[in-house]
Amino acid sequence: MNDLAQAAADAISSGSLYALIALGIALVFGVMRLVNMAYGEIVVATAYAAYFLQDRPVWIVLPGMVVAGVVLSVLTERLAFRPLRNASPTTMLIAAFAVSFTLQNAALATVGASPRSITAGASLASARTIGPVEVPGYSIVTVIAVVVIVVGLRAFLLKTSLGIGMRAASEDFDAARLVGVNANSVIRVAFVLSGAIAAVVGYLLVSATGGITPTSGLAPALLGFIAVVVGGMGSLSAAALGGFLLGAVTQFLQYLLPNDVLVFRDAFLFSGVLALLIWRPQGLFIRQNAQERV
Amino acid sequence: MSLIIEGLEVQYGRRVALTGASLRVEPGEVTSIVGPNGAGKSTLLNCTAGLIKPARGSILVGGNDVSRVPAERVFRSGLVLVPEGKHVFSSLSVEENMRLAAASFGRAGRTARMERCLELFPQLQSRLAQRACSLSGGEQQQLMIARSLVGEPQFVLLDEPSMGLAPQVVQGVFAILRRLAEQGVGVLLVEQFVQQAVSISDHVHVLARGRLGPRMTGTEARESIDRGTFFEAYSGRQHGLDEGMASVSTDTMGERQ
Repeated sequence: MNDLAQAAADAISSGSLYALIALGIALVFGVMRLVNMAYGEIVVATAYAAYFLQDRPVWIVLPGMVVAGVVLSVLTERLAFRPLRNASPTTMLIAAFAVSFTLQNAALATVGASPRSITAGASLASARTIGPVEVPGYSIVTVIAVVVIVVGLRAFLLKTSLGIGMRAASEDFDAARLVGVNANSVIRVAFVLSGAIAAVVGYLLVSATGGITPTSGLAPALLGFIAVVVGGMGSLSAAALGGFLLGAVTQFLQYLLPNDVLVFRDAFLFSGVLALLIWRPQGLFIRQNAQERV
Repeated sequence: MSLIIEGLEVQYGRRVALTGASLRVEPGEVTSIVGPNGAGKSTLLNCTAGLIKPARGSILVGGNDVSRVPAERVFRSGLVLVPEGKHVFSSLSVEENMRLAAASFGRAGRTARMERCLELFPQLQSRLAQRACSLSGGEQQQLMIARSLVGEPQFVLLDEPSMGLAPQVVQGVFAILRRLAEQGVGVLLVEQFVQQAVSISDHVHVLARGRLGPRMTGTEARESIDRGTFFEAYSGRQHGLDEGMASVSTDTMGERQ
């Protein structure tokens, strides 16, 4: 029973982290239809910012990570994605991979391939006992972060003109421009928010793992994108729920699978994802209006 | 202050979709452009509204050339396009759809503008909190027009506003367009349903195969339709477009049943 409760606590924590990653990817996808595979590298860049600032107090480290995430995110938009705004989704995807590998290699060239130990956020690694389970501090912070970010994003999208403009642009970009929504502003804000969320993800990742390498961002970006597809593309809440589900299921598989097949956990996970997409290709949390005959 | 389009040319790759298009829309007048599918009508409107860059030509709104500026800045210059099809933002409420177009006016200005606009569309008044996707087709079309008017533009461009609507609803939409013109707005209307468009128009152009025919008055166009010589006299013969126009005159000139 305690094991199950522990698995549930881990599932909530892991699900929350995946939800954050999915939100960062879905924000940009929503307004630009860009699958930003460079998102993982932006997370990594914020982690390296933490590495370089780790002797400083947390109130310098965290804003420093946010600045790094936002600046890099906006730079990738301005230099790589804006010139391709009217290109096909395939071209944009290839460009995103190109940006991803460029950033990865820039990190390899500047800080090297060896893992860097990061003490920033180390205080969050110590566990607290809550009822029958032990919960690391970063798990609690992850859940709080996802709640705060989701509530904040929701208020921004529902209450502000810029937020309403972003919702409109994510539905029909040209129609939004025709009623005065500034394309550059909407896209820039999406990249700014996405970069800021990348910094939070970066902080939580280094709190959990204690280190970083130039290639550490690949897996989170891939899982985040899968989470967006599982939840349903084009909706932030669907993406966040998809992320939560993917993270939670991963943890429960970890708990439920026997030791001798645990090594195949991801095979079970992605078989499930495949089955789910065959059942609901539009994603779990998006309503399907009509089915095409093929 | 007029909308003046001069020598507009639009290309999709090597294909010329529109060539040498010149027209003038005055405030308080309805100008219609009619023609068959694929003639370049939507291209002309999309280019004028800033969604497509022209290869050549100029688009002057009150003397300012907007032919190279993006759609959002064209909107702020006082020209708005109501595009073809259902382009309401379906997950937004009716109020949010309208508020979006008045974002630059501040809260007080926005509310006043929305109220003035809703006087033209009383049906929407009671549905402000509803999601746009829950409106009927006719109401969605009304919302698209209402949304475009919140910014109090000087020129409104409409692409096939009758598309998919019941005949009574279409009559209502066309009556609103006439009222808009009476309030001093310049209306540029693209329609396949010629008779309805011409009935409310001060001026009419025929557009076929990317070429815009000469301007005729609404009275001339109506008389020509009555005589059955509309397309031959004003476009086909002058541009050698008889074949393209022949199919239109039989398919779409009559009233919809």
